[in-house]
Amino acid sequence: MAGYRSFRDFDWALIILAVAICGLGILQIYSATLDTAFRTAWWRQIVWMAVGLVVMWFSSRIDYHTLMGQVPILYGLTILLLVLTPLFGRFVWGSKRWIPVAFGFHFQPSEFAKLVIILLVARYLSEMNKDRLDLRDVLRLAGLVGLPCALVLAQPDLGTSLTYIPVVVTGLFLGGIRWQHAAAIIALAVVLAPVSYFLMKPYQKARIESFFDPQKDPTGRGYQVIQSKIAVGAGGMWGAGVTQGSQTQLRFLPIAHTDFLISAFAEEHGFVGVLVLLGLYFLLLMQIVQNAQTAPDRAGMFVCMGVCSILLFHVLVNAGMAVGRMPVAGIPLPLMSYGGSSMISFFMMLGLVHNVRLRRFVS
Amino acid sequence: MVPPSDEKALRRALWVGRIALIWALVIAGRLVWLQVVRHEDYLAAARSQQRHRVPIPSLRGEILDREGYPLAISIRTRSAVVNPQRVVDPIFFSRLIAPVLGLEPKDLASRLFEYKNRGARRAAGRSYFVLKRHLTSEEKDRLAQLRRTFPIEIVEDARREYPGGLIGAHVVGSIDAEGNGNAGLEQRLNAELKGKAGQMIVLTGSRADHYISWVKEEARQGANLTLGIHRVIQYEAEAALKDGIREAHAAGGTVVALDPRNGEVLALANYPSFDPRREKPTPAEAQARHSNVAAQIPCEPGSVMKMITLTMGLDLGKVTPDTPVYCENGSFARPGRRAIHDVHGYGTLTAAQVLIKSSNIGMAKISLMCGPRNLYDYLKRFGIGEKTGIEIPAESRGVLRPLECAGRNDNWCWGPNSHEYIAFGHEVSATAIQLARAVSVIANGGLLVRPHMIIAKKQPLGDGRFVDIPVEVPQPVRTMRPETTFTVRQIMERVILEGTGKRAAIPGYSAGGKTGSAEIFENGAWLDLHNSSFIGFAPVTNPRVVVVVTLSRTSKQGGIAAAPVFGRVAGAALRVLKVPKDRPETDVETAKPPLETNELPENRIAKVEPVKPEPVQTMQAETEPEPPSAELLGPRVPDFRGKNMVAVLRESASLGLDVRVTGQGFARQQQPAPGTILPAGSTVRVEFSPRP
Repeated sequence: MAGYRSFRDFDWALIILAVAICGLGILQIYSATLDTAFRTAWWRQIVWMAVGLVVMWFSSRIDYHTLMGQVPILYGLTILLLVLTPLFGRFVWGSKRWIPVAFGFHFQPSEFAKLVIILLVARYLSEMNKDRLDLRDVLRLAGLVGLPCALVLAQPDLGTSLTYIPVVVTGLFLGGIRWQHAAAIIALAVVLAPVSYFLMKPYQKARIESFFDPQKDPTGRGYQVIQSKIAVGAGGMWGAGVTQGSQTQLRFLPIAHTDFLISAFAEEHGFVGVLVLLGLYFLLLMQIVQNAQTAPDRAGMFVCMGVCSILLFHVLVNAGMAVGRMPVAGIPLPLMSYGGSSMISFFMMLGLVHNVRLRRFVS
Repeated sequence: MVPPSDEKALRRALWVGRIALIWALVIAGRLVWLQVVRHEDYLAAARSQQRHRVPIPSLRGEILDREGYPLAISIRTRSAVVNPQRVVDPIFFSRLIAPVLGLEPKDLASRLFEYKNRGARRAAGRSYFVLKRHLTSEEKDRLAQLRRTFPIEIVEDARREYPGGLIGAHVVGSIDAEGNGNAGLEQRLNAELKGKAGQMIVLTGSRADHYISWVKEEARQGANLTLGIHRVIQYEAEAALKDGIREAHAAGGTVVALDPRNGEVLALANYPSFDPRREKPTPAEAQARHSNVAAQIPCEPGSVMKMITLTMGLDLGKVTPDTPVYCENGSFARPGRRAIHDVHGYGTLTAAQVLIKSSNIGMAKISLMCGPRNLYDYLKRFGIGEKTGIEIPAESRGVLRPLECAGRNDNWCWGPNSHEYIAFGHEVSATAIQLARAVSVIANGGLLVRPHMIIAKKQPLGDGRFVDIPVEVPQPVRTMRPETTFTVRQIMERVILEGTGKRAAIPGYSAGGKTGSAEIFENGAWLDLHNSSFIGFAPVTNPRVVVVVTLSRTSKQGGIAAAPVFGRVAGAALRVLKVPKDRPETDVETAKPPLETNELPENRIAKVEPVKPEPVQTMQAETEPEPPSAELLGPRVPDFRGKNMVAVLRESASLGLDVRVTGQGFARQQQPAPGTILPAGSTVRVEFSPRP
């Protein structure tokens, strides 16, 4: 069995695409953090990418069936960590998302939870082994994902908690949810949305408000979106060039190396640059979909599609945020935004895709 | 190997893909809108919040005298500025910085707070605060220590200095607080002196704590102007004018010295004068600053106008110098006309004597011989009644009424006997500059020149090199036959030798001139005061300098009050210009007390400073073994050390020494050493430095 899984069997197109996207990210981080306190971020990101590639290799080693077999333990561990986070967490920018581990590194359980949810959804739906899902099944799955979702939301980290939802939605959709149920859920969401608004924290409310009317408070809440739009627009067709984007270099663009990295990228590389970047993401996603199609079983397909949906969600929300079409949600751009936890977590997801791919000839 | 069981899942996957595609298309459409369609708008929005234009002041050009001695210079200074946004604690900051710069800590702190609290829209304004302009080197040194702790920047600045002090104030002028000229050449040539400010585009960061700046447009430095003014002549003109006014009890006065050959102004002085360095002048000084009498205020020239009348008669051939003119024994009365009187009654004089004795009646008769039309024509040939074009703001054209009457009731034109009065300088007005120009016609052999002050302009290129800017001076126009002017010069020389202008004599040089004393008619009555004047040139054969002296509201006649001023100024000019002497000095010495020019400065020094210097100097002179040879060779170099620049220039001007100065403040070193005997016109180098 081991003989089949040589390096030749890896999805090299996928890896090259991922590394290319990382490379663009590193370049942009370098440019956006020139002469700031984060000026070392670009080479840290290189280290994270290298670590991510190693982690990807590890996560492709253990058979995903084995991993799915351990889902109850992984799920329990995740819930435990998410419960512990507010207790031992490090307070950063108004929320507790990280818990300290050895050597001064910090670990973000909510990122790890993404993988567990992908596996959870895949196992749950593949064990159903039927084309139509009952309402009971839907609600049970929603409940299973809803628990970590709520715990992350309580950190508070709205953005990350939202990223769990597309996995479930995609899973349910592919798993055979009834149209009536889907319609009911959408209807319920529409009704509950205004209610949830009142449950939101003030800063979250402000984000929503500023999404609908950024000019209401141009130097305060609306500032990020306005500056991001100016940066994107100022980039024009061909962009200002690396380290030449004045919005980015003069720090008008906020957190240009993490959440608004794509705005900085759009300013310095222009419309053409963004199209190339989005094209790379498209190819990456298509490569994952292709792996889903050639997956040896339904579980493998669900794993791949889970990864695909979560990546897609990240890209679209982040890009939408940069151009003012989505509220500012604190969702990073996959493989590009600076940050070790998200980098490793995305490479682990790609590892799961490989995991499925390497076992496609085994029935 | 087996794909997910059914086609249904695949179909559903396609649905997911379509939704995602729509979403992606929305984003792509948005990107097109932002980056392609409205790119220019967003770029403009980015620029408007990032870019701030900061003007780079150009260094104002220098004004130099004809030998390159600076009369007005701009000195690069350093100013201390701070970004108030980066001052963490303004109170602490002010407590430490204010005493170093001599500021009030409370004021500074409140200004800083005000800047810190300015809105984000004024990002450039709130991040630039001038702590102090024109730092002394001591302040700079002390700030250097504090700059390690505080975000203080030292930036380039400039300050206007007038090294000559009061010398040439009316020529040079002054500048206001904004750095624009408000008098003299500083005003008239403000644009050229100022240059063109450059522009620096500063990209300011969002928190006003980060700059990217680059120079978009280098400042064009102001042009350097070289004047025809010579500082020693100018100094002597001012000093002589002041003394003349004091002795004549005059209200004011003016002196103009011109090079008759090309119209270069060698000296131009008015009294009262002003101090260009004073930022807030007294009302009297402000008045003086804005009235350049020499060019702006015409007055009736009186007898000096007779020069023109006689020239007309000679040039037209109506008279020769020896033509007898009957002067009616002092009263020329005709039926129906106002009588013309002379101060002294004369019988028959030659035409030359009419000028020498200054007979009004004789002049009126010469004018009658020639007719009004000719007189008007000759006044024009001497430039009377038209602007000379000198570079002084608001120049007057004087008063020359039109010859032709426009109608029956036109009182402004010439009356039936206007030409008789104009012949001796009434019913006509001219400025000192116009008179100097008129004398130049006689002095240079019949050419009408353009009086001008600027003889060269240089445009600094910023790298130490200069480009010459051509100075356009119109070619002198011939308006007179040279032979006539030679004759007039000889007659005018006799005015000084035997006539009314004896006190104008210059030791060692021949000179010609004409006195004038116009009575002042004010509030319907003739006052017992004159505008006393003297016009003249020297030397007679090839005049190198024309000097016009006017003293207003004095009881003394031109020959008494104005003539000595002429002698001093013309004498200083001839010495400075190294004109060879054409008269034996001893000759004049026997005729007149020769030490007039040598004695007066000493007297003045004795008055200014206590008794000390004089005995010391005489002691030295007595202990010297060979005083007679010293007199033969020239002046002895005085000890300049410890004196300020004005004192040095004053002393050297009286001795006819040329001084080259470097630095500012007080004389420290000189070469040659004090006591050395030099030929007149030699150069002494004096090094100045501020008092320690």
